[in-house]
Amino acid sequence: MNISSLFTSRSPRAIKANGDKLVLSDARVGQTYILVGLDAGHKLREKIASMGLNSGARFTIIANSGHGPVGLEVRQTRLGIGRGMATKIRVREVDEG
Amino acid sequence: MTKDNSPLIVALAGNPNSGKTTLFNNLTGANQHVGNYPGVTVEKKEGFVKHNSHNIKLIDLPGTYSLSAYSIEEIVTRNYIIKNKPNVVVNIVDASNLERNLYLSTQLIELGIPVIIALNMSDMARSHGINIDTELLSRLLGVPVIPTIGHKKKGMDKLLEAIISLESNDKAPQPPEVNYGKEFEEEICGICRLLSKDGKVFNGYQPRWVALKLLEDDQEIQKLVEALPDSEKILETVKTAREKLETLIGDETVAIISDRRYGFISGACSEAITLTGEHRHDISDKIDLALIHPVLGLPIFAGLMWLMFNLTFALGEAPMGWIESGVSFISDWLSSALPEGLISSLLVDGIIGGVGGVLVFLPNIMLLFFSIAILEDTGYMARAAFVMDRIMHKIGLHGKSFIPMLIGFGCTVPAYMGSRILEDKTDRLITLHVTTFMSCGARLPVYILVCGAFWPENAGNVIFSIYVLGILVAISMVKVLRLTRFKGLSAPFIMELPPYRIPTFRSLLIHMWERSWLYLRKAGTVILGISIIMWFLMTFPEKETFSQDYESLIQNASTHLDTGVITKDQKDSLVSDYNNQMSAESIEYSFAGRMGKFIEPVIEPLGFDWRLGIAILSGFAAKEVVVATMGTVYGVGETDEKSESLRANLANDPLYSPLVAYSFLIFVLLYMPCMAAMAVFLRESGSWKEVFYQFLYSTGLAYGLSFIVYQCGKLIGLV
Repeated sequence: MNISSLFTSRSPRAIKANGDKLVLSDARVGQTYILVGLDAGHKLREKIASMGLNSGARFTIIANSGHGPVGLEVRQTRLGIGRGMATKIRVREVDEG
Repeated sequence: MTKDNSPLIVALAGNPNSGKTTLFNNLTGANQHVGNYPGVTVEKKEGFVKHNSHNIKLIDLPGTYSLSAYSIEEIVTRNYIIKNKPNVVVNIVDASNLERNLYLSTQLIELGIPVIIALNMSDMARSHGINIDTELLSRLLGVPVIPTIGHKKKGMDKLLEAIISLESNDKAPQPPEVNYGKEFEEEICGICRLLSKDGKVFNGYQPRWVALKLLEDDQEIQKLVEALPDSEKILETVKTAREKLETLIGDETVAIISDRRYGFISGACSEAITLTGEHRHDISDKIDLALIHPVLGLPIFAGLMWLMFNLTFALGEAPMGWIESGVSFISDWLSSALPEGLISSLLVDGIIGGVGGVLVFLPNIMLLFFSIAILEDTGYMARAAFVMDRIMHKIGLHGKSFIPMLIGFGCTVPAYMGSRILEDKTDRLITLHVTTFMSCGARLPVYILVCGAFWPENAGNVIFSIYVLGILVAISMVKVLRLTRFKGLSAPFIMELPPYRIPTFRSLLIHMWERSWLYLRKAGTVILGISIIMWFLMTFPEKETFSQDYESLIQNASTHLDTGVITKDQKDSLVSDYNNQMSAESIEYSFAGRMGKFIEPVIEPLGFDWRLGIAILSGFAAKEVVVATMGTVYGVGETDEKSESLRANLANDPLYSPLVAYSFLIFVLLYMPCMAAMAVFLRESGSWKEVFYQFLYSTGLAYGLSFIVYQCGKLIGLV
């Protein structure tokens, strides 16, 4: 993780100092990610899983402006996830190939 | 086995947007709503179909993604299946989005009820390069799989055949179960053994399913188990099992269970699906680039809304005129055909006047619903909620709340109905409670009249300030309600953005008609009743002696005309003046007048007299009635908001000032919704308590704000 980016960039997409965890709200448009974990109660976990986002699911970001919900595509479905929720979803980048 | 006279009960279950409702319509021919917006089908809908001498009763269950107990739809679906035990559950699955859709299927199969999968939109899947081996899929899942194309009505007969043959086949193949892994299965078996001793308690709940739900910490099922004699032992076992599994696998059981389900599904899909060519990005991607664009999204949304409102009102104008002339034709005809008297007055002034005044808005309402149907059925509504979530979230509401609030500018009745799209009950109630302050179309005539009288140069700005005030009050009330009655945050925004589709004209019409019908029915029932009551209150008791003998004055005028003292025009204006003064006196004498006088001391601190009091009371029938009542009370006869004489009367009345006028406008903006809206409020909130709360707090707020404005204005010398 690039520490200097914390100081040089005020962009909302800058990686936040959240341990070394990357969260969905920081994800870049067009990039593919894997869901690693979810800091939420099981009510929300089940709800999100039932819509296609379980841990290990691969998805691509279609919208994230740094404000408002994050749009993503998972299992051929598009979802909008509120920003509050998105900060609780831990993700890992996938090298496209 | 069913006898010929008792129908097969078949329940339709599936994800939102899987085409479930379209399929239901195809099978039953019933007219009902087809939507593209997640969560459109909230009610249980039934229909009948006859196939080869078999009677089938179809139940359209709400669209759900899962069978956990986290939303009303999920509980409704699962309780229906468990308690009513349909003969067959038809699970509609969107073929172009198989994995996510099968997540529900695996849970339906676990319930132990015969399941048939209708692989819907198989044409779309193929065009996306997804080829599904239905036979293999059927073998892997252990249930029949029938390809269907809902909007082209393909596969319906095969589906019906499959339903009948599955029912008449005693030994349906036992579907394979999702394997949750060795450790998990051991615990499930252990819990099952504890449960099945008391098997009879479960009334058809599969012990394995109950065990899984207990491991998932499902509160509903836990309650069910608590009623068992050895519930303590069972729950203790579940608790240790859950803890053991969570330390062993290092995640919550809910997460493990959903992972294993997806694992099973992925396995089945990778065998049964062959992808021909790459998954090409379709048109939806390109449209979404613009519609949920961080910069362009909002202006596009605003533009579409502007277009929608303008079309609604521009296209509605002509049919509104037709209805108006139709209504006045009928009332003219009735008043000439019937002898003058109470019956004629009841029919013409009471019933036709009241119901007609509401019917006039029907074209606007139908057009508004038609536009909303287009937005929903194309899939745009979900994008609009996406774009608006950022703003709505800051206010303390859900992204979807803007839809009812926006409709509120047209009419509060459909706006309340629109609040149904919010799944979370608290979000829905708050939205209902604040939508009232979005100034509806019926309040506009009042503003036009009053502003025209007191601020002829500046009417537009004053009216605009009232609209803005309504929005500000709504926003503040969300905050207040969140801090007091409904503590906590709005439900998290998670929403499917369904693929864009071109809606069929038929489904748009069905959609529009269903909602318009509710409005129309209201006009025929509640509004009819209240109109009669209002008429009664404004007519009785009848005044016998007036301050002047108007009858003979009118007689005199006729004689003067005959003798040439006055012209015909002068005579007509005299006669209408006398008539108006007479009706003003009658009204003052009537129950309504007395009520106005009675409440006068209460509304006096707001600057209102008894006449404004009657106007406000009559606004409960419908807000636009305020103008008509003012016409009657001020003795200027039939009026609309453009009436010059009423304006002049208001402006020249020594009791009124711009300050009183503004206080009155605030009151009209904020006080209780009209009776039609209240009736819908009751249905949508589901409780009289909320209706009374709404009634009291909106009227209280109206009183409070008008009071502050009037009294402060008086203090600084604006009388």
